[in-house]
Parts: sequence; structure tokens; C-alpha cells
Amino acid sequence: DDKSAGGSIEVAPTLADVSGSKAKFNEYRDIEDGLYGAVRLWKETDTFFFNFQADDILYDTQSYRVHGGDYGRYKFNLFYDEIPHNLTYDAKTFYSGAGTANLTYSGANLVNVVPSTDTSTWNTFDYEVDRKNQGAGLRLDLLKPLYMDVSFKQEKREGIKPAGLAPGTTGGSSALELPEPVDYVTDNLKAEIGYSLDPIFASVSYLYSKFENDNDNLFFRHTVSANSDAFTLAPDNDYYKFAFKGGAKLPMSSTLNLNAGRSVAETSVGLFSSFLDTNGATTTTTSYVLSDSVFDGKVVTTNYDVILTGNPLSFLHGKLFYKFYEKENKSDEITHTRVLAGLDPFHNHLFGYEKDTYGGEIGIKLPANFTLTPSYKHVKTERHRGDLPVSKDDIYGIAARWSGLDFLTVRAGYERLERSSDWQQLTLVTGTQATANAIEPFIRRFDAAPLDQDTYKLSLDISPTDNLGIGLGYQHKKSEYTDTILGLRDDETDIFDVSADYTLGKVTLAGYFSYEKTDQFQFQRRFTSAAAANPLTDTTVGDGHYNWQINEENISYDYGLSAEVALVPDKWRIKAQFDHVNSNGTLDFTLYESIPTDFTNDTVDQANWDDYRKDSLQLKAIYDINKNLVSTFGYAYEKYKYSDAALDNYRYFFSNTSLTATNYLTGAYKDQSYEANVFFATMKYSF
Amino acid sequence: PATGAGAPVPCADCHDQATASFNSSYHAKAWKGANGCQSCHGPTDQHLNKEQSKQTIISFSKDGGRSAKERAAQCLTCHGSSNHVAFWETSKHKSAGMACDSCHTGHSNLPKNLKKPQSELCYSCHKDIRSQANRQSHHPIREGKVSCSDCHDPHGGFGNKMIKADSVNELCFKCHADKRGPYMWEHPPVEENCMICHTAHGSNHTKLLTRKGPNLCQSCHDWTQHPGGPYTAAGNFTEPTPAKQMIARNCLNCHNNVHGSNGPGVRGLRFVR
Repeated sequence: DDKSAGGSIEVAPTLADVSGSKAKFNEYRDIEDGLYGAVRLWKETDTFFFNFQADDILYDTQSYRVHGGDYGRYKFNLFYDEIPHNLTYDAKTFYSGAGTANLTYSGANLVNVVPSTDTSTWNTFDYEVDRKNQGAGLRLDLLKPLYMDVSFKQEKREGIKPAGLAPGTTGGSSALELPEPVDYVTDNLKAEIGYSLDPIFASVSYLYSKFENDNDNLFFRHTVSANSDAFTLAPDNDYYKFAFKGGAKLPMSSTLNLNAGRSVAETSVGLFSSFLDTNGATTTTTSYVLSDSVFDGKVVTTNYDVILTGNPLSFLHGKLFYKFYEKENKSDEITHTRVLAGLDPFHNHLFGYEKDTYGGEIGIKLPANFTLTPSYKHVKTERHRGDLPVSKDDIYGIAARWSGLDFLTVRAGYERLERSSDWQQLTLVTGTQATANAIEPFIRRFDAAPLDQDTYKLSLDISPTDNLGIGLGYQHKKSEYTDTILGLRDDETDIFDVSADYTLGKVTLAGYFSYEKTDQFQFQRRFTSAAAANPLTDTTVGDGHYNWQINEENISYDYGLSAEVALVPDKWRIKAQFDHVNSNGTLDFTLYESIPTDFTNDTVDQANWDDYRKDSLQLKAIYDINKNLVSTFGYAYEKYKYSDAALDNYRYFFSNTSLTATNYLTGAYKDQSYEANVFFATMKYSF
Repeated sequence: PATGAGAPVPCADCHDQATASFNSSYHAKAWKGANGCQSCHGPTDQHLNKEQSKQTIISFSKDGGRSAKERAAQCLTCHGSSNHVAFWETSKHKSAGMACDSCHTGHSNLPKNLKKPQSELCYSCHKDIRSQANRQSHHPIREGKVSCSDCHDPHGGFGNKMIKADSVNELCFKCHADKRGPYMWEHPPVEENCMICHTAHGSNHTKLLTRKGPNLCQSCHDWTQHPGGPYTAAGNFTEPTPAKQMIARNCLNCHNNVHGSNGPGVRGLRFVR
């Protein structure tokens, strides 16, 4: 085909019938009744190529891309695309002003006027956030081996997402869910200049990113007063990073690879010195004298890496590496002194960390197409954190691969992670230190806690004939938090996968199945005062201090089958695809005392823990009318059924025994189940 | 046209489908007829004159008898100076015995000369990731709005899991700049690694959480009063007094600003403003 220009135009009338949650159905899509369109144009000359592609024109998922250039000399691109994220339609709030930064409600502006609990009078809105990305890039290779790459991207994010807060003084008083406005703009500029000629590579790059939020705060009228309070939103920030990357090929088939970078993230935020208490008033306990009314935040990261690889002998391949990463927190320390005399001042804790990683691996080729790769990695993390300031990971691994038969490749691997951590007594920023002294010795937070972890992997790729491929995989991971009394103690995962594809003449079949089971064991303590916090020695019944535990289990599986049949070669094709996803989670509680009235240790369990099943079917008949015209007729069906203990039988407000203890929700993530039938046709004309 | 470099070689006489696919490929477009089959498949004298087997040319077939290193070397003849493969030697894919032709083919007309559309290609080895991407909470990979290579560099680099950043958080903040702060009141695990609470590819739990709250939060936060309480079926919406720590968005019903806060005093410290 010697064409130097061409393109295609595609139109797709679509009918969609959706019952249930249209938001979940279209979580990242925009499928509705209408006419979808796509256009592609291209041109090639001896010195230039050009492509234009437009998809889902005028829909919430629309995208437009242009790229072109001259191969090996320069390339450019321009793009615009949209990504919707729909969470919940027809959410409700008694506030007016959803989507703005000022929420209020009608009624006399008098203290203790309770907002309406008649949800039929509440205002509706949609939880959805749309991302609109646009940008351009230019790559120049005119001065090879030098190159330059410059790109710019702007993302606008608009919509509403759920926020929640406690509109009082003390923890646990009540919950208030609010529509949070999202009006973000992020500008990213990246420039890179490099030299790339075998055996040397070197580049320097600069990334600048500016995030701007139109709304610094969300103001809302307190639920029991006419006063307005503020909920702080994501702050504007500036970020930049300089980086160097380099590599060189050395004698004995070895390479030296270097990476270094330094970044700075900064923000400046005006601070509030008070908040409203449970009764919607500012008091001396909710007011502070601040050491500075503006918080200047600054976080600096520094990283460098060295990787040495070598292939000194034909049967030996090795890698040694060292990595350093440091996050320094140079933000302001703001001292808060409560106006109410007698309460200690406190300040924000500045968190930073430093991570040193080194290790290596050796790949050894053995006879009979057998390869063995032992490896070792050590990670030391030092954190500016009170409970577990230092942890050390030793990770031993071995991977084996055997491909002794043309039709079979077997891979197996084992990895052992041993984490030791230095524990120390946490000193509180503010609060009752005696409580920390009593309970913290038993708590090891799982992100940094001492841990023994074993991971096993096995996979087989089998292709007995050219037209048949089968893949089998199994993974087992067991994590045991060895020093933990309170918190996550055990975490175990088993995964089994199988996939296959087969072609026989005009028929192509493919399928997959995956099964995953996870089990977590968590041991906790409920207590009301430091005096009775010891979970190992407390045997007093009925004092409100007791231990409890959860065995959490999640079983998920999914499978899919697809078939493509060329009924009449180059004329009629039929495609069918069916996918099924299923997940079932349960929480098995054991409370060692204080089982709620009317419940037992068998009935307090949660049977529906993010349970769902989804069935998707798509059928397509494709008819090549002639060389230029292709038509498709299709039908898609999707059914999603979701059930969760935290969302079933949803209530917008509850516990309204007193004005100050009423919880108000908006319906975020409520009723996610749906069923959809979609009929579509496409007509594509190529020229 | 797919003929041999130098003296024309009639490859198409026997390999009509292969030459047809090559002629519609990006390689053919980029080369504009300058190179032919021998550029990649090597001299054809023995293949044409003596034994017409895959072993007598440089074949990229599984039964072609060429090692991964030999096959990769053939590609690197032209692409060895490309900055995109500058760190291939550091790659986990290289360690696993893969070569360029494990993912690419010179005959492809797909972007980046891939053998299959990107996510399908990656899933063919990373089967567990396909399963995760199918789950109810996921990045829009299935919908075609996010691709594996947005976050990972399959050709190697310096990030763990071959991510395109020097730390997980730096990678996440590229799209989630609103989480970058810096905040006055920080949540240390959030600042250290997003993956402590989230998973990247898909989860059964909303917001790509590794576990659902309140259990996830309570794994670290056991304290007097409500942080240490068991939130059981007795706190569901079906009960007369639901537990606000259990229903709806559980802990986030109040502690929404878990990624950091600039809120006033203890309200900011506890991430409730």
C-alpha cells in the first residue's frame, strides 16, 4: 500500500438503558444514548509524518491527539483528553451551595436551630470529578547524539467529592458529611537535555509543577448555630525537581548507572486560630494563640542511586546497587497555645525520613537451560517518628527459571523478608501521656513493625502447539508481625491464576481465571483509661476494658472467556466476550467481654464486607461492506450487585437524640448496584 | 518494500504475510524503504541456498535457536543509543530472561511496536494484575485512560518495581498533586509511602485501599474510647444507633483529612478539619 495520506471517520449510534446507579456504571465512562464519533487522519511524506486522532467526540471521555515529526529528527505532540470519575449521583444535603466553598442552610439564624431532617426537602447534587488534560511536547534529535525533550501539561479538575468532619470539640461527638468543591489546576513543565550514544548516556532534567486550588477552605454553617466554621482544603503548592541520569558501558560487559535528584515542595497557608465547639460557638478551649499566622511548608528530597551490572562470563550476570533517599521537612513549626489557661502549648511534628538501600543479585546459567538467581537486599529506614524510628529489612530471594523444553517455561521464586525495628515509647504532641505509656508498649504499627514475611511464586507457560498457549501461576505470601500485641498481627494471601488462548482456523478462543484469598488477623483493645490498658494482665470483667479480635477474610475470583469467529473471511466476524468478577468479604469478631445487647460472638460478625459480583457480556458482529467501509452491530450487558455492611440500609441521619449528637450524611457511595443494556452500531469509513 | 538490504532478496515469495505486516509497520514507515528483512534477520545466503530453517537466519521465533541476549543485540544494533533503553541492563525484565522481542515485534503497527495492546501484553505475564484491574475500585486501566507505562518503565530504571519516579509518593503526586501538601499536620505513613494504605492496580475496597476501614485505621490506632472500639454488626445502619465509625465512610466520616491538614489546633492534628 503506497498511500501517503488517509484516515477514517467512525460514527456509533448508541442506546443505553441503565437501571440503578448510573454513576457506578459510568464511573470512568460516559455511555449514554447518543451518537459517538471518532476521526483519524494521517499523512506521510519523505520528511514528515502527521497523525490526528479524535475519540468520543463531545462526550465526557473525549480525547484529541496530534503527533507528528520526522522519524529520528524531531517529534511533537498535542493532546486534550477528559477522564470522568463519577462516584454517586443524586446525593443529598440540607445545605445549599453544594459545589461552592460556602455551605449554608435556610431557617432562622438562631443558636440551636436544628437543620431539617426531612430529606425530601434536601438539595441534590452529584459526586463527580472530571479531569481535563491538555498539553504539548516536543522532542528534538537534530543534533544527535544530543537530544532535547520538552513537555507541558495542564490538568483541570472540577467537581464535587465527599468530605467529612466532626463539628465539635471532642472526638467522636458526631459526623458531618459535606460536598467538597474540587476546582484544581495543575501545571506541569518538564524539560530534559541528554546525550545518548552507545556506550555513554547522560541527561539532566527539570520538572516544575504548580498546583492551585480555587478554594482554600470549605465554610459551612454549624449544625446547631448560625455561625460558620471552616474545613481546610488541599493547599496550593509549588514543586520542582532537578535530576541527573547517566550510564556507561564498561569492560567485561558491565555497566555503571547513576541517578541523582533533588526536589523542593513548598506551600504557604493562612491559619485559623479557632474553631467552633459542639454548640457552634468559639470558646477559650477552641481558641489558640499561634506563633505565626501563616504556615510555610517546605519539604526537600534528595536521592542518588548507583547500579553496577556485569556479565563477565557467558553464564554469569550480576547486579549491585545502592540507593539513598532522604525527605527533609523544613516546614514551620507552629506553636499553638490554648487561650484557656493551664493547657500546655503544643506544635506540629515535622516528619521526615531517610532510606538507605543496598544489595545485589547474581544470575547463573546452569546446564539444561536452567537459570538460578539468588539475591539480597538491605533497607534501613530512619524516620522522625516517635514509636518506630528505625527499621531494617533484610530481604533474601532466589528465583529459578527452566526452559529446557521448547513448549514449556517454568519460573519459581522464594523471598524472605526479615524486618527488625527499634521501638521506643511514643511522646505525644498533646494529650494524656499516661495513656501512651500504658498502651504503646503493646502496639506495633504494621507499616514499620518487626515482620517475618515469606513469599513463594510459581508459574508455568506452556505452548504445546503454535496455536495453543496456557499460563498457570500461584503465589503465596505470609506476613507475621512478630512483636505486635495490638494491631495487625498476621496477613496471608494465596493467588491462583490460569489463562489460555487457542486458535483453530477461523476461531480464536481465550480465557482466564484468577482466584485470590486473603486472611488478616488483628488483635485490639478497648479501654477507657490508662489504668486498665494492659491487654495481657487485665482479667477484670465488666469494667469496660477488654480485648477483641477480627479474622478478616476476602475471597475474590474473576474469569473471562472470549471468542472470535471469522464466519466469512474478510467479510463477517463475530466477537463475544464474557467477564465475571466476584468478591466476598467477612469479618469474624471475637469480643472477650461487653458483647452488645441482643448480640452474641456469632452474630456480631459482618457477613457483607465489600461484597460484589459483576457480569459483563459483549457481543459484536463486524461486517466488512467493502475495502473502505466496515460496520459493527453490538450488544453489551452489565450487571453489578454490591452489598456492604457499612452502606446497606443507608440512613442520611441518625442518633438524633440530641441536637449535638446528630450525624448527617449525604449518600456518598450509597446504592451502587446497577444493570445495563447497551445496543450500539458503528460505521467506519476509511479513505 | 520488504526486500533484502543491498541486493533484493525475494522474502515475500515464501513469507507473504510477514512481509505484508512489515510493510504496514512503524519500522517500514520510519525506514521509508531504506532497510529490508536482512537488517534484522541477517544474511540469507545459507537460508536461501542450503537449509530453509529458522536456524539459518536470525529468527525471533521461540524455536529460532537464538538466546535472549542475541535477539536483544540485534535490536540494539539500531536502538542501542536510544535513551529509552539506556538502563535496560538494570531492568527486572532483563534479569528474568526477557528480550526486546518478548514485547515488541518489528512487524507491528501498534504504538511502540508492541505485540498486543499494552495492558493485554503486560497481563500475559502479570496475570494477577489483570485480576486486580478488574476489581470494583481501580485506576481506569480497563477504560483505557491509564496505561501500565504511565507509571512503569519496562526498560528499567532506578525506581522500585520499575516505577517512573524515585519514590512511590513522587509517582502518585504526578496525578494527585492535591496530596502533596506540605501540611502542617502530617500523617507519617502517608508521607512515607502511599502504598502502606493503598494499592495501585485495583482493590475490592473503595479508594484503592488495601483494607477497608475502620479495620485498616485501627491496625495502627488503638487508643482510649472510640479508636479502640470494636465496630461490629451492632453498629450497622440496621441497628437503632449506628456507629459512625462503622457506617458509610467509617473513620473518614470525621477524619477526612488523613492525607494531611492545616486545620486549627487539635482539630487539624486529628485530621477532622
